[in-house]
Amino acid sequence: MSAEGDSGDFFVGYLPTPARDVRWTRVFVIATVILALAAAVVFNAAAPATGRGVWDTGHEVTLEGEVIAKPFPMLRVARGDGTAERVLLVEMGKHGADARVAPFAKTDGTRTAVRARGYLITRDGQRMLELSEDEPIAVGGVLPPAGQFDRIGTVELVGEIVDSKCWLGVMKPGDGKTHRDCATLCIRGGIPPSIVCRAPDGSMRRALVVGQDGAPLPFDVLAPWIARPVRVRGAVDVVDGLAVIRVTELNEPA
Amino acid sequence: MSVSYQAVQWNAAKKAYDRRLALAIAVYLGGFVLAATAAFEVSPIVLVMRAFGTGAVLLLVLILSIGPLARCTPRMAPLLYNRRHLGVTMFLMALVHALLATVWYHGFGVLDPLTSILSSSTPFEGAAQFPFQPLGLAALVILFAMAATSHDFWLRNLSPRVWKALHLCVYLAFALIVAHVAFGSLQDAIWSGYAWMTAAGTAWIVGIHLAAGVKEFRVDRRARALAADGWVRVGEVGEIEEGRAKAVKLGPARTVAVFRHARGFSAISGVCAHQGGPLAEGRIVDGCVTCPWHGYQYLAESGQSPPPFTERIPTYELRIEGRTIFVSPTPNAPGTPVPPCAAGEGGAA
Repeated sequence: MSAEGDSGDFFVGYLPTPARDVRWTRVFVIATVILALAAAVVFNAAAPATGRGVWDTGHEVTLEGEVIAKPFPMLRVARGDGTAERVLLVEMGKHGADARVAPFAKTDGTRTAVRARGYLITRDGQRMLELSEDEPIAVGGVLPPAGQFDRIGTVELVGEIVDSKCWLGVMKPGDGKTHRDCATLCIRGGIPPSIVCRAPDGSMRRALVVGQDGAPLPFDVLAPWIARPVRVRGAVDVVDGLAVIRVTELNEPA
Repeated sequence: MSVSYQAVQWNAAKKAYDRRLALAIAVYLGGFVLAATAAFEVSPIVLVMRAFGTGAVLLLVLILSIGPLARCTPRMAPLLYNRRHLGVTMFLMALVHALLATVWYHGFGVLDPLTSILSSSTPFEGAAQFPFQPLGLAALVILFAMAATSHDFWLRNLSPRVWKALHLCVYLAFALIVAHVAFGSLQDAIWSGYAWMTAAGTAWIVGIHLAAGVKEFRVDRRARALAADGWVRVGEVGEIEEGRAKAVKLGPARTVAVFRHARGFSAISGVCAHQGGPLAEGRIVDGCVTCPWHGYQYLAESGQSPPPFTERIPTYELRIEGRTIFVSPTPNAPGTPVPPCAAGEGGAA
């Protein structure tokens, strides 16, 4: 309305702002921003630890070893100390590598050596390879030495079922309720599920989750238990340093 | 207030308002990133998602605070003036948060993202398992409807009543967002300070609305108690300062603003035709009743906006007996001229 006028100490948007309102508004805005920053500090202080995972998307690497298709695609890679390590193989995005790996893995028990290109995902010494897009697997290379197998026996683990890819370092955080939908989508897409639990020394331990028969658990069986407190009972084996639990029971923790 | 529609009727106050808003948001986002990097490492997308999400919630708390605070002090008027820009900005921040969450958590998979949002969190077993993302999505839909209609074009075309009802849905959106936080990130928090902060913010919003409501209720109750003889007693002549008004409640949704101005006393509807602002808290500026919210103006004797503007509000008859002012409970048609009632005349005009 009026472009000019005297409103005294009464604020009218299209007239000059009264000096008292200018001072009050300045103080109010500054106080509000300080409160908001304090809230940001509180929010971040309450956020849980995210682990030391690394998703090295900047360096494509090539690993060679024995390709394995079941229960999940993985590569047995020779270590420098004469043992072998199992490196899980996944596709980009939230997809397992079953279809990509299947043509290379023989079903007659013959071991096949391959070279696989991709990007390493590493957390606490455990590795996963996210395969490159363009023909990342080729036959060739050296087979690793014979595997190590330790039968731990039947145990009960209390922890959280996560998708191995996010938890190993693709996402931070890669666990918890806010990550549940992502973990569910990953596992639905074929990313290997794991149970992670806190060891007495405070470190996090991970075991690959499979069914009692050693095959992947059906998604519908696993889905209700993803990213929530869970008690898992089953037989644990450690193959080439990778813990695998063959699940017989999934329950809520006591 | 205009005679033709413009996308935004910019003026110096609005430009300064938006500059300060942009600066405050930049300071907050920067501060959030600093606070986050001092804590645990998080994915960059998660960091940005969290910064925008928390920023949107805090901005919503501010937006919901301005109305009740403005009922308590006129010093909040400069913040109230351009509140719709706050609202649109808050929606855009919430949208950034939602888009990043959708892409990051629901993208790149075997389901399309929207299907994933609405189907992944299946267990409905108590607070810890309650799916929180559909709650955020529902709030975002409401905020979108509000942001999209946050313009006088929609106020005019939807009618003030429908527009107001739509924008009152902000309280439903706030409740959904509180639930989104409580069933979402609060479930992962490792420190109770976050829960207390959320509770304090919610209590603040509820508290100041109750306080403003109690203040209004006291005014309403006093006015009804003094009603007599068909006409309603406004008060003594000396109670109303020059250029100011006194509010009188005539019914649940009807308030009269009785103004004292250079030509005497006049009564008009207490509700601004623009966004329902409280005209009784306005002043006479340049000879016109001026709304405290957005500066819409009316002639006190006719309830008409000065030409070329076309807004009209109802007027009321007044009479003064001795030193006591009475107002007729029956409104005149909007824009009906009523000669002002001068103190000492002793009768209705």
